[in-house]
This record gives sequence, C-alpha cells and structure tokens, in this order.
Amino acid sequence: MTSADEAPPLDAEAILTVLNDHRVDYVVIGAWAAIAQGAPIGATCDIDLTPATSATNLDRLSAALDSLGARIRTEGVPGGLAFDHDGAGLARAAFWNLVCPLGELDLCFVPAGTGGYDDLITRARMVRVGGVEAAIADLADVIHSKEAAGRTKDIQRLPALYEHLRARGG
Amino acid sequence: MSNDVGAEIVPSPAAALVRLARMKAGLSQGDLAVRAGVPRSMISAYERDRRQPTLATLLRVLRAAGLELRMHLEPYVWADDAERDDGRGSSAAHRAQWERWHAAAGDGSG
Repeated sequence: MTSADEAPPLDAEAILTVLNDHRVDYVVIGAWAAIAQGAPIGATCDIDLTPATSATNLDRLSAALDSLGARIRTEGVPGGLAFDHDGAGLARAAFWNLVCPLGELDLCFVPAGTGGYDDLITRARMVRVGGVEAAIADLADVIHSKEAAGRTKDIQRLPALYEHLRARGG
Repeated sequence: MSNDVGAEIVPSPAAALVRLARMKAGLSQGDLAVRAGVPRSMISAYERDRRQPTLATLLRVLRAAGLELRMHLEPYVWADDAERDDGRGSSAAHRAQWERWHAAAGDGSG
C-alpha cells in the first residue's frame, strides 16, 4: 500500500512558521527552494531543510518537531511512526524523513554536493513566502545538490533548473 | 515517456539526460547530432520524448557531448520515490501552492 492518498497536503508556510517561532536556523533546499526562486517546476509533496548543527539549534529543532507533531515517514504507516528525540539524538542521523499534520518534511544535515548549513547559508537568500520569511538555498546550490544526489527524479528536473538559472544570469 | 505533473511536463530520464548534456556542452541540437552521427531530428525527438534512445545510443549521444553517464545502483528509498511525489504533486492543492510560491517568488525573491 502506498500512503499517497493518506499523506497530508503540504502547508510549507505553516511548517516554516513553526520553525521560525522556535528560532531554528535552517536553509530550505530542494524543489521548494527552486520554486521559491521562480523555477518552472511542479510542486513536490515535501519540503527539504538543512538545519544548523549547533547543539542549541538542534535542541530548538527538536522542540519545533514536537510542536509540529513530527513522526518518522515510512511506507505503509499513514501518519508515520512516533519517535523520541532531542537535539543530540537528531544529530545521530544524517537525514530524517518526517511527516506531520502540516505535511512531509525532510531534514538533511549535509545535502549531497554541499557543506551543509554553514556552507549554504553564505549564499542563501531571505525570501518572504506568504506570511513567513525563510532562508532559501541559492538556485546554483539546489542544482549542485540535485546533480550530486543523482536520483532519477533529480535528473529529470535539472534541465528546467539549468535553463532558469541561465535565464536569470546565473 | 514524459509525465505531466500539474503545470510541469516532467521529461523522461533519457530526455532529461540528452538535453542536460547538450546544455552543459553548449551545443545546438545540430552540433550534437553531427558529433553523435545521428540526424538532428533524432536529437530533437529524444529531447521531446517523441522517441526513447536505446541505452547504447544514449551513451553515444552523451559521449558526443563530452560526457559520460556513471551508473550505480542504490537501495530503493520509498520516501524518495519520484512517482510517489509526482502523483501527489499533481493535486489541485499542490498546484495552488505551487502558484502561490511562484507568485511570492515574483514579488520578492530578488
């Protein structure tokens, strides 16, 4: 069984609002970051975030995940699996595929082809989306990470992303 | 072949690779066709998903662009399944959100 029908629709703005309320430092990367910069690609069903890895930030992230009601996203378990976490625990994995009532979110501390938050934030831009402001990875970094990841779905979107980057003079 | 996802036509992997390789090499379709030894119409058909190259032909076209496809198999990750993404990305709710983000980007992404 897939949970395609059961998965909650993504409310990225609401997720980012919760993160901002908890003063979590993060960079949005992936398809949403590209879309937020006007790239002509369709919406995906999750939002990808690269959090800062300081102990303080990870504790804030853990609290934000509690507020979101985040659970581990896994096949055949609509709503995901409950998990206990704190900042130190979150740091023990390289990435987390999560789901919450506001949609699906992926945490990746070091996206392929990048140096993680400290690297991405130097080129990130602050973008206001609806009522929330978020640090969005530079489109060139999004492209670089997708190219490095090399998943089929990444490759399929790279031509459109490259064209958009060139059109804006990148 | 290609997959219509909401407002986006997602190219097949082969189409994306041919177009991406040509863009990276800075070649026109005609240039790439000459280098690969195929008609220009063939390159166009591949990029538009009108035809699917065999793997051997795809590798030849990529090589003509000065590129090599490096392949390795990775464990399947359900959470990253493209078809799973695509199926849900085509919903009205996701299209509406996509339009909101595009509108926001046009207003202030810089």
